[in-house]
Amino acid sequence: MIWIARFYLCALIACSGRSHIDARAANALAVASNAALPLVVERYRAEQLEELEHDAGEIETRSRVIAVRHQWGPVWIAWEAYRVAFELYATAIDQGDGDGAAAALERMRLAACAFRYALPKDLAPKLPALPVRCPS
Amino acid sequence: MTFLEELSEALEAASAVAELTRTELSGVDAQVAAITAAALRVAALAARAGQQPLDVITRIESSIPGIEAADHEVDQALREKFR
Repeated sequence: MIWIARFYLCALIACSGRSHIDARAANALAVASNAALPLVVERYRAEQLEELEHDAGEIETRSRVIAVRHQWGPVWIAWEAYRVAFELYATAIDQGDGDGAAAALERMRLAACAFRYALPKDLAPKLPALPVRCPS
Repeated sequence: MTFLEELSEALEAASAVAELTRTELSGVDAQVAAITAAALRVAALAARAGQQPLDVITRIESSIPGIEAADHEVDQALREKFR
């Protein structure tokens, strides 16, 4: 009796388990990422407004604001690259394309890590943790 | 009824029989019946899980609306300061 039950159990898990796990893991990553985004934008906004606090003329103040925007350029590019990589990964899971998902997963993970490393160093620890492993 | 639904019902029925049998046995036979009943219940749950639709995956939002709103606010503050 036991071996019959084991056979059915293994067959059913093999048929239905993996895609649910992938979808839930992907969803958790997206939810954490979207929770972090407003905090990152707020920091970007605050750094620009800080430049208006200095006792400087208009030209210098505008130059400082532009400099902040340039500094943050790589952060936003990294975020959008991560968003696109995630879309490819999630679409592969939605379509039940296991091979495609496996190929997209590593690219997505690296893009998430690139975004994390582009952030100001003191900001990353204050954000919701992204459930991805990044090289240290 | 789909194959998985039929299988799920059959496994649950077998689990109930195994559980009833267990109460009539003793020692090792009772343990075997209990383990079988538990395995069949788990298999039935797995069969039902196979019927659930895949989870909907949240998408990552674009940063552009937030960036534009922040830049707009800062530009407005600049105009106010140097009016």
